Amino acid sequence: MSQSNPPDKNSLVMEKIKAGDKAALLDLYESNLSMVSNHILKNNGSRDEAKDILHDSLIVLWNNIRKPDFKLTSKPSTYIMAVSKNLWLKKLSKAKRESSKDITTLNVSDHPLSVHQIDVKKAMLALDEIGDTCKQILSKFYFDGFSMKEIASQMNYANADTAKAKKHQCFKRLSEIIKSRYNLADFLG
Amino acid sequence: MKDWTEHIEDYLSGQLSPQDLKAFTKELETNTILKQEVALGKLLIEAIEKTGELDLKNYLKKNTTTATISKSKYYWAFGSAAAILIFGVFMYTSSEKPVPSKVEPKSHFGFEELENKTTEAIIAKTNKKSESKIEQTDQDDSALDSFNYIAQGDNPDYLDEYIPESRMMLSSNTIIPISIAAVAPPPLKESTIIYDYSNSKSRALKKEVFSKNKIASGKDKDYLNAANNEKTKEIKKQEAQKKYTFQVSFYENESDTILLCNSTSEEKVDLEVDNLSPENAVILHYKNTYYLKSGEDFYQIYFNQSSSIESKITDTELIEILKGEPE
Repeated sequence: MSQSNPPDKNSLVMEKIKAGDKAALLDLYESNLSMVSNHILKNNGSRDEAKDILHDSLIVLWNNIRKPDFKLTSKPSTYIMAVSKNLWLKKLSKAKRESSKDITTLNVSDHPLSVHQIDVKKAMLALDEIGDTCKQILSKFYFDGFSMKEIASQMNYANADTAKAKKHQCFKRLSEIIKSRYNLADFLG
Repeated sequence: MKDWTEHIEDYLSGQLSPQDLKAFTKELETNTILKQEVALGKLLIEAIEKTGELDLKNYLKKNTTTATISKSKYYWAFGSAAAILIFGVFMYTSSEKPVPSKVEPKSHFGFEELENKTTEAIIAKTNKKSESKIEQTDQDDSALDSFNYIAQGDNPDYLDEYIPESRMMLSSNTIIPISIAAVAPPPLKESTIIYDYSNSKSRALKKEVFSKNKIASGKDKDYLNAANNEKTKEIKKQEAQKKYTFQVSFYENESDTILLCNSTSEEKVDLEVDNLSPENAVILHYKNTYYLKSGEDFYQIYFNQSSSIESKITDTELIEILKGEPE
């Protein structure tokens, strides 16, 4: 037998995800659903909640995989399971905290995020107005965490500098939209 | 002088050289405009990240449900089940058709006459203000006009404690159950609120009473008024037992938007209440109208209302009433 080791399926999937292949996340979803469901069903959760938690875990993986300090020492399934367990624990303790809250203690100052969240939402709406290319380049950099070099090759820019200039221009456009609509001092409270 | 605003992105993504970073931080201490721009930059990045997250989550949701079905060996079974379900729904809707008179889409709660009356009462009250306080209390001493605080996890004992005695128009005996349900949230910007008035008997009665009232005249009117009073009492009695027993649920989607929904209903209502979370949202029932209280703000719950901004209550007198604070 001259055949060398078969290609490691796990590392192949991880490579794909790292390169920005969202469809590879779906493979991980399929292969981990029953395991995550089992855990969540055993811990007062429902099947739908299990799916939701698995989605969130995959998003965590997507966010982390391109970070320079991210190194997966275990199998992807072990990682997904660990993240899912954590997220579920967080969700349970949040629900517990909220159910013990007393209405008298609730007032506006308890929810400082409220105004901030409105602002974020306004900015999210503005993001829809800067065009698909701009939205894509900003998302690739800030959300996906791709380097400018990677973005340049994915989006067919001559080089990282050109891509960076484009990104800068898009970011500026976005902030101009906000500035044209709101008084910055009021907007940021 | 360097235009630091051009370097905000680099600053925020940690890409400034050590010297520039030092200079930038120093400038930031005194330059308010730069400070604002940095704050805006942070906010924009947050919005970009949040949008990315939402998009990815939507992608996963969309593809994991369909993927499971199409790959499933139970596809055939699913198809049959769907067919049976669709057939069932068809049968159900067909059987509902003979009674279209029950459907009054323009009415908020199935009895506009009553609502108009109470709107007038509010106006009258706000004009009269303090002198009508006691009178109003009497009037409100019915299940129909009661003013209920409804909140997740509240118990009636607690409400009794919380509501000062001077606020007579508050009656705390009914808590509409609110449950947090984990459902696949509808896409952002498309939200629905659905009410079900399960007490259909009571609603039908009310229609009868007020329609007679409208066409009656002379002696008949007196007679009908008396009859109406009887019937109104009957309705009130009924409602004291069952009130508006629809279930209000809070559904939280990814962007912390709260949707008020009901599980079973005929009427579809659109309402999106921004930036509320279950723990700080309270629904008030006053004069046949439902209000949502968030912090110090009140929103009227309308049918077919797509923006909570439009439903925000600005009438200070009404807010005072809703707060139930002694004048």
